[in-house]
Amino acid sequence: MADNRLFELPDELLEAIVSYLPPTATLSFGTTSRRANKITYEPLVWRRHCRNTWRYWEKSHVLEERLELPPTRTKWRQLFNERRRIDREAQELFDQMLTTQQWRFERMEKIASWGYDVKDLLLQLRDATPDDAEDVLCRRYYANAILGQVHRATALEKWTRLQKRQMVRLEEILGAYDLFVLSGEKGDLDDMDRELDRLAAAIRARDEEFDDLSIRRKAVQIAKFLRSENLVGNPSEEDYHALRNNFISMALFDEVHTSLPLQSVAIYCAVARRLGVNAKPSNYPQHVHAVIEAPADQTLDGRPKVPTQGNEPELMHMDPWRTSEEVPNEHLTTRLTQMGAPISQHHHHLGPTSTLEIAMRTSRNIMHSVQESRERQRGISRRVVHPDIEAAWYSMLWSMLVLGDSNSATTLHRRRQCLPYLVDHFQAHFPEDIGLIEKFIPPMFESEREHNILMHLITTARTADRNRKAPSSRTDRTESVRLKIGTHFKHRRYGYEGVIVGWDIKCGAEQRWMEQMRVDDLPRGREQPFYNSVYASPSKRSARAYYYVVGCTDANASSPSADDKSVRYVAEENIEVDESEPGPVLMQLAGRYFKRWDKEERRFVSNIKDEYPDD
Amino acid sequence: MASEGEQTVKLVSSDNVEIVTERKVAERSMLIKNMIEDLGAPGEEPIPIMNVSEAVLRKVLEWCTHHKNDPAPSQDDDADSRKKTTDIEDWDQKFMQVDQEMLFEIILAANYMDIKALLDVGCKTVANMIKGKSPEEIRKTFNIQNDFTPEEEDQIRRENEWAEDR
Repeated sequence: MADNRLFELPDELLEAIVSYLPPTATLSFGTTSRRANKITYEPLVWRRHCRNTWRYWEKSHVLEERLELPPTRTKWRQLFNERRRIDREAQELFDQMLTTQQWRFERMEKIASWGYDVKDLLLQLRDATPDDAEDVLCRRYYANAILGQVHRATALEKWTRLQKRQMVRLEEILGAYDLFVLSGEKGDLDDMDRELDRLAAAIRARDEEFDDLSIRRKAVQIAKFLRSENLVGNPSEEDYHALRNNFISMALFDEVHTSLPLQSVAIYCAVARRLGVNAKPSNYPQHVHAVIEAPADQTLDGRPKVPTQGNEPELMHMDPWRTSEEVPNEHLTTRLTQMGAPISQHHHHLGPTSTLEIAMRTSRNIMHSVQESRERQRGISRRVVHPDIEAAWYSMLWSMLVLGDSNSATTLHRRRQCLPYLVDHFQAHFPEDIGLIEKFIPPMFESEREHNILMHLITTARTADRNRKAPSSRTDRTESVRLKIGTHFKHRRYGYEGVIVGWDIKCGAEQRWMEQMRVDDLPRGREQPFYNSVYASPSKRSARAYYYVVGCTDANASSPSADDKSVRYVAEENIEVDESEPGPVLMQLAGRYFKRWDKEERRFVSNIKDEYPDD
Repeated sequence: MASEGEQTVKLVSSDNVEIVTERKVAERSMLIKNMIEDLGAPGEEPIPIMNVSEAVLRKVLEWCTHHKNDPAPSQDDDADSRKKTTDIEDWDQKFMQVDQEMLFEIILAANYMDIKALLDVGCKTVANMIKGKSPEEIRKTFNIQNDFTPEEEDQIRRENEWAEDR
């Protein structure tokens, strides 16, 4: 037998070779013999595989801390196996989930419950599923939907902590809004933390003596740096209320770094605190400043001071959104007087505000921006808009429900107001969030009348999810339904683009809806077949439009035109079949019901055969 | 004094063959570079490369000649976490098309002579010979004796159950 030259190498060189092997090859090599097995058992080998295979980790793994410890202190190989097991189980569950609508939400929830341990897998399913995969649309759609669930669960956890007065940082609270609209590569809370750390380090690196500067000088240096990097502020006045300006991660990572003053100040404060400067957003009306507090035993200029009881620390103000210079106190008080704020209130306005108040301001700003962009986008493009308006709206609604001030009566009042909107939005756009609704909402309405309604809603949704869909087969009675599931069309009257996702022999919608849509005015009236269609539309209706089970009605429901991504009824005569390839928005949306677009048949391939077996 | 590029050095292989080469080529080896600096008078005194035979030394110098103008490798302090690619440039791939005996001699020589880039190419070449193969195929490729007891094999199978790709 020939010699084994490989094993003439010393251990360190075998280890060097193994360091180039991916996990599977490492295992195969380790299975060949005792010596190879010993080499591949080194903790460093599996530490490397863990780090290279997954970027995201559930907090419970305390990965960052483990990386600091000597490698032998962690069972890296076991950890690798654990993550692989999760990937595999999640993948299996995901594949099952795609094949039937029965148990779908429950399965999605189970996958999402692995949290960040499945984020890499979901990103891969969403971004690396090839265009020609047999079920490309639904694979991408549901991977993205579950990813959204993971993100939203994290956001809600952060807000709940704030609501319970637990320790949570300002940038996490603001970043939680971003978690609702995330779509790009970066923007998760960890990405932001790393970026803020990097910025703080860059400021230190730029000035060797930074740590010896007075607080006042530091405060100005930080603003100068952030402004020179275009990370704060907004040069374009028109875009002031642009939706993206509400999202702190977009200010950090988007090419256009614009933000509202509030997000600019939050970035400033987060960086400043990393550099030992105690900065917080101010309570000032109409515009957010950063308030910087001197330490108790020092002035802002670094002179020692004897801390005495009741002697408040010295304050200064910065306005990083506008300038790198300190804002003089006289300037701020003059403005307050002009605005009619009583002198007794000045102290309050010049002081720092709470994180909760900043969050509530953000919610109101997002509400405003969404309404404005709905106005502005009326009649414009069919391109994919980022941040997604529905997701942004959803973040605002959730925050309004979760966060509340110390006054329980006003909190309950606001929650009551928001609840119908949230339920409506959940049902129309995020029905998979039933678990989040169940976990967070009913406890807020304990012993209130809404509690029963909510429990009924949840039970109904759960039951619907557990049951097999009642199949609508093609029979003699359905002859009048000429169009098939998956048909791409243009609405004759409203011009939007849509796809048929269901049909009814007669119009089954509520009376109120039929009146609104003037169904009886149609030539064939209620007797003609109706198609459920999902559509991407150029126009946007007012936010207050449709209500479901919580029982509020909306007097403002005005435009009957199709305008968001929810399911509607359309009469056959308004459907103009369109054989051209659908636009990107519809393609994305179609994943909820379809496997792919069939270029030969010129329609979508159904993934709801359990409901419409013959279509 | 001649410029560095034209300077030559004398190397002596383990089988006592003297090889004269350009100083710049020889200094791809950190071992030689340090020795030259210690000796002070390059070119005069022959430098013994005790663990490397003539055939291997010539092969190694062939690689060093081709790469004599490469930029110095950048320091990478977290090499362990970096995703390591096993891509090898074309010339190096051809260079490494040798029998296993020579391949491992080159790796040992690169290690002894402290030529990091050549060592990397060698290790990558071996890694590429392992990748994509079953354990049995790997054993065949390198003539590895399976010295596990059936019980040990069983245990390994259990340990690998989750970690393997499907």
